[in-house]
Amino acid sequence: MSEISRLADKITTALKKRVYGKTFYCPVCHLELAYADADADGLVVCPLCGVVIELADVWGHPLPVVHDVEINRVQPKARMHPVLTHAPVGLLPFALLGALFLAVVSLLAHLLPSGENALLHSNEFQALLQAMPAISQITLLLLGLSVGFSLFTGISGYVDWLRRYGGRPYKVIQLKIYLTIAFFVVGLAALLLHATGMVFGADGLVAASLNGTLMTLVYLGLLSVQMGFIAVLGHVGGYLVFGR
Amino acid sequence: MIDFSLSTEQQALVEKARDFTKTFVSPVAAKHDRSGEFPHEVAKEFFKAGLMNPHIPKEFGGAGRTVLDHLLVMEEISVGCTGIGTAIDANSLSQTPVIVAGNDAQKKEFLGPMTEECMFSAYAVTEPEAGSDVARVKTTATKHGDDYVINGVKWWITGGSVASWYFVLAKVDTKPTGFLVPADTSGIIRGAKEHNLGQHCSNTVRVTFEDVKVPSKYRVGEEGDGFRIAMDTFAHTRPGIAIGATGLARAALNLSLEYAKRRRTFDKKLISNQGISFKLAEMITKIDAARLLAHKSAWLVDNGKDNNREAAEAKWYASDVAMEAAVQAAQILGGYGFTNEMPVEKLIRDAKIYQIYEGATEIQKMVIVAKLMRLREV
Repeated sequence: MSEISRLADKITTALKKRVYGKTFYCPVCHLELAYADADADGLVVCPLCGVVIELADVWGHPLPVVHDVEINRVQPKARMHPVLTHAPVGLLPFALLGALFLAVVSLLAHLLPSGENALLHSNEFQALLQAMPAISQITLLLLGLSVGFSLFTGISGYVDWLRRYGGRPYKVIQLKIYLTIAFFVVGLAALLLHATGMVFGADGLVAASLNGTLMTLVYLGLLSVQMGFIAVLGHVGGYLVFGR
Repeated sequence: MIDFSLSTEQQALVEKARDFTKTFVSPVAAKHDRSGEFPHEVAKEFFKAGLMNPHIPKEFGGAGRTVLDHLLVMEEISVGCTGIGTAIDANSLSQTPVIVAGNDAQKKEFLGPMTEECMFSAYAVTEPEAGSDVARVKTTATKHGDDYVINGVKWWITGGSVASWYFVLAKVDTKPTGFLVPADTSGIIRGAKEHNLGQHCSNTVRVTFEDVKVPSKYRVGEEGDGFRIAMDTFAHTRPGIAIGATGLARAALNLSLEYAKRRRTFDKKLISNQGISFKLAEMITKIDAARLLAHKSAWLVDNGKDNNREAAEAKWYASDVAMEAAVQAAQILGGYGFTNEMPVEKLIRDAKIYQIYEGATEIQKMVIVAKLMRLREV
């Protein structure tokens, strides 16, 4: 287990280094910030606690010197972003579960020998097959809502960035913007596949062909990638709000 | 004639070590301090850069560098992190007995491979009941035919669990004797890593020897030479300890100077207050003095002269300067000197060991006095 966590730590560190470059910690709230967050004068405002830091690098050691604190930060009463962000995050896992369910049922329907198979001819399985089109539509709806809400979440986040964080180009916020766009684009691609019947047919099942199998794998892959994006977005967003 | 300037090669060596520190040491210092993980990656880079094992003679594949050259490198590394510095340079301590007292076969067998790949060795002398009082070691080496059988416990062995071989001080009857013991010899048990106050990533462990059979050819020098070899070793390595402490003090000065120049209090820069600026003046003066003592003691041993008093002076003085500079740096940074999010509090924890290992400060003063007693005048 310690080997797995060590490997995970190594991968996370490498990814962080790639995205953020060299980092330092705010000495007040302990938020990890990038050297690149500092402006030309070496100044950076901590997005979490609002202290104004002058960043010096002493022999490779970061030395953040606190000069001031932004006490009059914009604190809108109705911040939409934290509320809206739960919609795509909450809906996507159910869309993925629905898609997996449809794929498994399709697999059973196509792979089980049709002759005397008890499961295939049971009333329950037949009823399930009847419900497949509806399940497919519900999955599509959930995915559509998740992707749709992500647009509003992204816009509200952008507004928050401009108002609360003064539009300062923090690496962490850049990462959130890029991942939100990526989530939306990948989501649109998945929606397109599903809505045009390239994955699930009118009967809600995957077509028993190589093309059908490939399309299902691509579809599930897209949803999994979205899950990855949303996990990182949620983690980074939570970190930005609550700190370490 | 006195010349304090560095040669072109030495200046290049300093710059190489400085770049190495900024690239590989400082950026991971806090991480290793928190995790306590041995800095294998840094050590590999240190080896690749040709900075590891500097003393190994050229005829055995090494760089054959002088003690002074070694000091130039280690001061720079210690500005980055003395924990990492100790971890990746502990070989110097265990290799020195072989270099000063080993025969050619031992040098070839134990030092040769260390020039080919990144390997570690450890100096296994300290025991639970024998630290500064080296002669008091209880570990025994009993002669059985052409072999010795070693029994005993060694404690706080730096690099003990990563070492490929140990220099072990054991008593043959009552005579302290040095042995080279491959780490894969049956009967060697490596203990858990100690959780020390500072220098967290330096691997410090207990090593137990239970009926460890060592051939006579691995005995360093003659029976009874062990104490002399240990003392000769310190003559070579104490300047290195002094320069590590000097490097740490430099880190304290660098950080507090940068902070004092930037931080504003009562509408003026911190450095504008004499209470602060005088601390900085005292720090740089003492750092210069510590470095000069360390360099002189290295120069003496490099030129075949007795450096026992000067090495003791350097080790004692530099370790006190490091401790004082670290504490003063924390004072200059105020609350920020007390938080572990800033690199200064670590300096206080790391500095303390310099006043203890390789002979505590009190031992250094005893060495100095012992030398003074032989003089009519100074």
